[in-house]
Amino acid sequence: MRRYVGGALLRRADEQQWDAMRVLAGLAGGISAAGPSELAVRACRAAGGADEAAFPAAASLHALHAAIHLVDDLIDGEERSVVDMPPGLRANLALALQCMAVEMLDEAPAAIRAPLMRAVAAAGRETSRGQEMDAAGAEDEDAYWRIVEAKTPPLFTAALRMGALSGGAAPEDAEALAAAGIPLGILVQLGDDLGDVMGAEIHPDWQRPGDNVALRFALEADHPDREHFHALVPRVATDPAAHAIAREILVRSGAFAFCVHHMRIAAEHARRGVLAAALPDPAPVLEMIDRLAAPVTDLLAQVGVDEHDLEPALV
Amino acid sequence: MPRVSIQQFRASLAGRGDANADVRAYRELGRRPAVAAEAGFAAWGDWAAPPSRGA
Repeated sequence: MRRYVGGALLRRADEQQWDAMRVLAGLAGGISAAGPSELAVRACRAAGGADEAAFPAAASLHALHAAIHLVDDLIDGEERSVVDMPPGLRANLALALQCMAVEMLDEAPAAIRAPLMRAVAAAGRETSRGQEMDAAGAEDEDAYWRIVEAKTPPLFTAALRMGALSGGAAPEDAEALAAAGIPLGILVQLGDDLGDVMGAEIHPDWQRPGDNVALRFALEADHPDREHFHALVPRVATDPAAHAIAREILVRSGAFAFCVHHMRIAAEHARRGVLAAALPDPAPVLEMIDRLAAPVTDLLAQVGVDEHDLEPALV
Repeated sequence: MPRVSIQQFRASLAGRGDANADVRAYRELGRRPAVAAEAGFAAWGDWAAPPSRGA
């Protein structure tokens, strides 16, 4: 799959002598085994198709994914980028990638080409709307969840829908599988929130704490360290000790566990959604959900809990 | 999806009554910052990393 995706990008880069696109083509070998391209291949397999049948969809999703990341970095003011170009040209490259995400589907069978093109175009449009909502910021907890649902799931619903269609699934079965992409996207976004604040690097989320649910929890929940946490957040960027203490409070206050809980719920809903789609072999997609949820399972195991002994709802 | 709020979740953790298995697990997680710090966040972050970092 990675070779196909890299080749599809490289052909277009070579046709136009486009060095920046060549850089992206060269990175296709590093496509994540937990990314949307892989998810599409697994959805195709679940529907009874050969992996190769999903390669155009995988290439299309990779191009869209790369475009989303380029724009996300621009919105976040990220100076490091995969391509060394001024911001405007990075936006231009993202635009080209979005176009290529549609163009690459020309290699899909004619019978499903139009639905695949509509799916990737919708994913790009919906994600763009989610990005704009995210940039405006979450004014409260409900707004945070609305933004998460708008921003992250479209790529995953598209991957499941496109993969299933590529594998020969009926449109209604592909739609049923696509619904699992909503909790799957939430699972991924929550993991991303945790990773952004629990890591050693100072992530921009510390400057916009309302947009990260772990930080929001520690700022809003009624816990003994709340006032201390409020005082620490503005110092995190310049004071490593404050950063370390703030991360400890995230764990002690329950913010960390709050994310873990919602990741468990999201993973369970994603599994149920996959099984509800009644595809010939749901195992490839279920395996991927398990892989994404594995850190949660491992965490609970380390505190002596078998996740299967827990209830899916807390209250 | 059923969704417990921040305040509800915190109240469950802080409650003094009998806790169910979930709450006991989450309380224990809150007492283990080292375990939390070593969780495999990189695997989750792969979804959001730029292509150069494996997305």
